[in-house]
Amino acid sequence: MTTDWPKRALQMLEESRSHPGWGYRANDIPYVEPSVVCGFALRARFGTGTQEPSRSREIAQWLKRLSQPDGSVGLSAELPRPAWPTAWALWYWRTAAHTSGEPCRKATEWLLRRRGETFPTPRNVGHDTTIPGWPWVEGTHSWVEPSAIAIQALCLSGLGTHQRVRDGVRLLLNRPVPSGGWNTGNRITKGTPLRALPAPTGISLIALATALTATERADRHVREIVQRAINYLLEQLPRTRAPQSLGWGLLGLAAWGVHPEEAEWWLSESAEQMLGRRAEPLPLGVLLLAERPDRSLRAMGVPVRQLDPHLEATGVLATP
Amino acid sequence: MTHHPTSPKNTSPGRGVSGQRGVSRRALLAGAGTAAAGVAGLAWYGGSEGGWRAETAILRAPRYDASLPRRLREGLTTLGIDRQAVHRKRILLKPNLVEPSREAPHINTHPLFVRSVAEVFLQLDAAEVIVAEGQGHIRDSWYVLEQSGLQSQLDDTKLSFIDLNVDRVFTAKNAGGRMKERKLYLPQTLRRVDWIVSLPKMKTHHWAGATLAMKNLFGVMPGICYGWPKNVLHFNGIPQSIYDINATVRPHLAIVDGIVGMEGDGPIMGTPKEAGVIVMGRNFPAVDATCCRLMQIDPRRVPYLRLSSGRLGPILERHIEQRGEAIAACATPFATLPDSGLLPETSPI
Repeated sequence: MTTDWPKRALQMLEESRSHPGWGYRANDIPYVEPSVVCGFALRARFGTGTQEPSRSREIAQWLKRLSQPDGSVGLSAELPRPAWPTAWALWYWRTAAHTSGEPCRKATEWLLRRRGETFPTPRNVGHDTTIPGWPWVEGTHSWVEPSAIAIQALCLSGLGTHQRVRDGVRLLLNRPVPSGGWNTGNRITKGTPLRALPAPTGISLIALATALTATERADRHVREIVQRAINYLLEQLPRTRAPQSLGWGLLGLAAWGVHPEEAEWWLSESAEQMLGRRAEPLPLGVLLLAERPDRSLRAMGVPVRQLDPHLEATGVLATP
Repeated sequence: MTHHPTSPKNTSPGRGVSGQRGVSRRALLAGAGTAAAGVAGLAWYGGSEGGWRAETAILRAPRYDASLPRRLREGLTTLGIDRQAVHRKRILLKPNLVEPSREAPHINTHPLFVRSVAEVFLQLDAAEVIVAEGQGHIRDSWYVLEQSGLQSQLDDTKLSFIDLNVDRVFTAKNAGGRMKERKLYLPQTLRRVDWIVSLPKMKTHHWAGATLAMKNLFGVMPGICYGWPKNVLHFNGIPQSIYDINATVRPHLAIVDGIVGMEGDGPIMGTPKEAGVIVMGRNFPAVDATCCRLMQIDPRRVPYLRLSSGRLGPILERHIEQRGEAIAACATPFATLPDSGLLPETSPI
């Protein structure tokens, strides 16, 4: 039996808001990432365009005020660096009714210029370190989550065929762990395969749903990567009630047309556990997005894809 | 108690972030003058270790059970840490939760270990005990607490948890000076506690040789500023980063969970290793060097300890007073990977 948790979660979001957005903790100063995720959650629930709630509109305006002269957007008004949230801000702007303007253009250019450090692949590292993606912090290597978010933002900016985006997709396809799904971006270290994690896997599946071309989606190797990631999530999500892991995992599945029957129950348990302990805006926002996944994906500009069922019939990609 | 020529009667551990004792001028000058000449910039301070002396306590603890609080309290008593020392202190416990997995509980500090340490400090009249971590790989702290089993212990004991990855931050002057960053971002929670207590797992590390009390402080660095993983610290050099963070944060006490440690491909993919010990002390290089000896790893081969020797504390056995059990009685070999960052064998000094 599920509860009325979404209503209470929305109420909690309202109470924990720090105008004009949300902090990582209730009533903390607003940070870009939780503000964007909670803004997406409000849009998914109450509509976009003329129906968009004032709360989520205000976030878009606030993000523009955070835009630095070089086009980047930092963590918060207090912390202009590191600027990995630029991709979140651009993603948010590009899915709003009002996407034009200098901050959008400059953030796009900034993101295209930014690239993770590359170097010849060392012995005992299991991924191709020469593929440029996006780092968390400038001057460091590329990782899965910042790359996935940058890919999403740039695709929504009409740059899906840009070389940087294609390299980013190549990076994601190069980095899954051997058993399926993604860790933070390493797959094998010193000869040992790493374990996948639900949230990076979900976010990567979202980015791939948006960025993969029809030709790529038809490629057997690519479809195997996607199917193995889906299999991983189907196996792992019943065993976690951690909100961001569960929420991003379910959204990643939904982006590929997969909706576990018990998801509603898992979300309810996760939300109740959280509301009973410490309510934090970002995890609450992710849970609310996952509760209405198809609407949320639309609000976030993510298309829903389907894998060719023929692939599963081969037995190679059988679900657990 | 840690003894050093510049602070012979320093009865509480030093503090960097709140402006107490830093690295001695002599040590800094020595480090600056010799860094380029050392092994990968990790110059050996010298056999005198700048006059640093310290005590560590070794306790036998064969398993995670109800006897843990008693054993921990014995260890604290051995080090002279009593009710008077702890009275009204706000204590931050920093376990190692880098990437927990239910399938591999030996990755992280055991949840009963964390709980037992918290109970002991509360018994000793601590004003507050909080558990805090900025885990290195997983952004979802709820997942970390769930997978590690720590959430249920926090619930039982009403202990609060703070995710240091998303804490409000402040900047502190980098007191170590080995990384290129002149300032470090640190979580504000560090400023509102009196003692920072590192609760690492006794593990080998595939890049750093070993991960113990000092390396565990990577987990106070906020992920929003350093990433997941905290790749900024890798790019700066792991030994240099460990050194700078410890020189700046100046933690107060280390209590190492060596009951079941990890050998081989640590810190995540290694295999469990029963060592049956708890190691504690106020001086972190001394504690880590003692742990290395218990793991039968020469601490002089561990780059960050070589760098810390004589600058942040002693690592030579003759400069560390071992209390409780003897090293020889408890030592057990931990396997290391062939290319795990350990320096070549050194001749005795």
